[in-house]
Amino acid sequence: MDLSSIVALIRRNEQEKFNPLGIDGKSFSEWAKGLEIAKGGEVVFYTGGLYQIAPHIDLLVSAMKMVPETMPKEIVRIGERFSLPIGRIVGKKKQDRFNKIVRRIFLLVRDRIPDIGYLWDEESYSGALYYDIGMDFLFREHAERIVEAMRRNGVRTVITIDPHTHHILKDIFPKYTKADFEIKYYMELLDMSIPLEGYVVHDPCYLVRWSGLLDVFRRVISRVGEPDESGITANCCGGPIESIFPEMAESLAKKRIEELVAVSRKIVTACPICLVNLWRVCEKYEAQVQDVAEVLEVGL
Amino acid sequence: MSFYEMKELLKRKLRDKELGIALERSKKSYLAKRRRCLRKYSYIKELAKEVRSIKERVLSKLDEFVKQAIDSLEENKVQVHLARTAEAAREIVGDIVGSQKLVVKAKSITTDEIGLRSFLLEKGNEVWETDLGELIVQWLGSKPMHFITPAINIRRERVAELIRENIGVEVDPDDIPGMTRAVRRFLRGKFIEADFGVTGANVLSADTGSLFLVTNEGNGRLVTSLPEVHIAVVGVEKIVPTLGDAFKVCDVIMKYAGYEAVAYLSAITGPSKTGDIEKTIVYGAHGPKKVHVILLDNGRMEASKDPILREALYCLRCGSCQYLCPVFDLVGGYWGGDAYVGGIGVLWNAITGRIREAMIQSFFCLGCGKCKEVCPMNIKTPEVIREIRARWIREKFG
Repeated sequence: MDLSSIVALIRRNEQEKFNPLGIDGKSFSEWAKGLEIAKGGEVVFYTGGLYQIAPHIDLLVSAMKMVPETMPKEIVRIGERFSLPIGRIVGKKKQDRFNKIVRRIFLLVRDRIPDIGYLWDEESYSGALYYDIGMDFLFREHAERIVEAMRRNGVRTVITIDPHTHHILKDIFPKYTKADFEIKYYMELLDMSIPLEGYVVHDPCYLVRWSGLLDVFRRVISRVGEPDESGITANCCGGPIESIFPEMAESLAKKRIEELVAVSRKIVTACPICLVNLWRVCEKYEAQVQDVAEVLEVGL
Repeated sequence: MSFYEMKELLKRKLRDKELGIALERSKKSYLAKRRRCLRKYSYIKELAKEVRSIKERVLSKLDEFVKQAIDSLEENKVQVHLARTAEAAREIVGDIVGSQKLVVKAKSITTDEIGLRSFLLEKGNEVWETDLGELIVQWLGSKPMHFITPAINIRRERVAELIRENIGVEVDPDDIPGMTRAVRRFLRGKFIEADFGVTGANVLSADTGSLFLVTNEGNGRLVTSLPEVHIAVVGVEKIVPTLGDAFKVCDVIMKYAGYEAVAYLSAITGPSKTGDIEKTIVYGAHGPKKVHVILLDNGRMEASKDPILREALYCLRCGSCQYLCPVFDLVGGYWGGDAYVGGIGVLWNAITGRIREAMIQSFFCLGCGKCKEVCPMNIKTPEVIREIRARWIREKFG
């Protein structure tokens, strides 16, 4: 896929569905089924939809790899496919897993903040991809709409649950909008320390480098195995490049998995992008990759 | 190269097992050396911060420091030339050298930036790179693949072949010392007979007008002392206020390149001279009679005023970011640019006027931020790369 096609596709999906993959935003709140959560309020739980979108990115990547680079018509067709609500296309099991992670994080947070709110249908994707690619015009518009929605709902503090959304809301939104909300990562609220002997940790770039939350992460999980390059100099899983160069993303994931399995085949991370990208290649290494929220279940 | 062509090239490199092995060997060795240096010399991180602030001061009024450096150099009897573009710099060196001459070069990315070797060859000169890695690059007719280790992508087996093809000496591919000896013997005569020695410089102190060269092989010493004329091509961003500052920069470069101290740290302040007979100063005693310094702008002055692109001018060329970048780890210097490779290469492409190239290359950066973390100057490469993309997209898609 060439750059112009990617930019065009993302633009159209943003216009129609307010997210880069054109996924129906209604499915974002599926994780909350059966839970009674107030709409809005001073403190809100903000998913940014990244855990919910992540399994779709996986599918998009598989599809892109099959499309020969020189067939723009095919690309348009894929664009159309991705503009459909594709919750049904992605395996239900996979989607359930990611929804469950969000639900677990929510329950952990609600334990600490019982009256925490949620924006429900007014919550949307953070716009991180637009910013990363350099689509500033799209990002600014998108961010302003999010800020408006938060204001409308009386939000003052936002609890984020993935490192990409966290970094964008905390560090980038104030540069592009008049956002002045307090942004907290859910791990900052947790007072637990779960020993994870036998596991190896993959530190997400956006958690430990861009957000500087390595200490917070290590307070939540302790006695975990570390690969040769870990913490502040951990190697990337390759996820960020998957939308424009899936082959590179796969090679990077393999390289990282090899470093990790040298310590343990039980890998723990804390980012939906890392989770998807490492997961895609882990089978070959007989390794399993889990999100920290799945491991923290023992503490619930 | 288009985005598509670049992607195809990188796809091929992802599958290149030889390249993978060569990169793996180099990275492992570097990482061990770097860790040792940073552990043993715990002051170095603080010194690196100090160097960043020294360079911030210089870049905020680069014009003034360029003037001061020119005055000091001229006081030292150095002939100074200010080149605004790569083309101008090539012409200046071309005029000094002429044709039918023998030129020996020390490794210099700045001379690669202006395409000096091929320019001098086209003018009918004999030109030899004397850094072993750079000589391999010259033989291959390719580009330097790393700041410190230009032939990082080449396995020893291939080097043995190159020596056989180019010098006609048979060497065992497992005998790396033997290969080094063969090259030493080959270049020895070139050093002695050379008319011109061409180098870059790692630092230039504005107060004393001293050029610093940080080297290990010893070729830098020979190139700057045996020929009658020494020509140094120096980017204006290499200027620091004082001689003391220059030593600090050299220390940081060495440590982050993985060396506790390099074999040869040279400070050159003007041509060779003696006053031993009746205190009459005569130039060219044992070293060069003439020293030319070409101060290269080629986009640097403008970049020093651009709050985003200025970041790249802090670069010390230690190579840390290249050795430790996950993308570089897979495809080496095939990504980034011609003279400057890897993520930092994208920035240098943008500075030296190759905007389109920079924009295409920018899309292969992960934005993972590791380069910034391992850089002694903490250069915000990923942020600059994002901005390069943003500028391009703004221009192309509005």
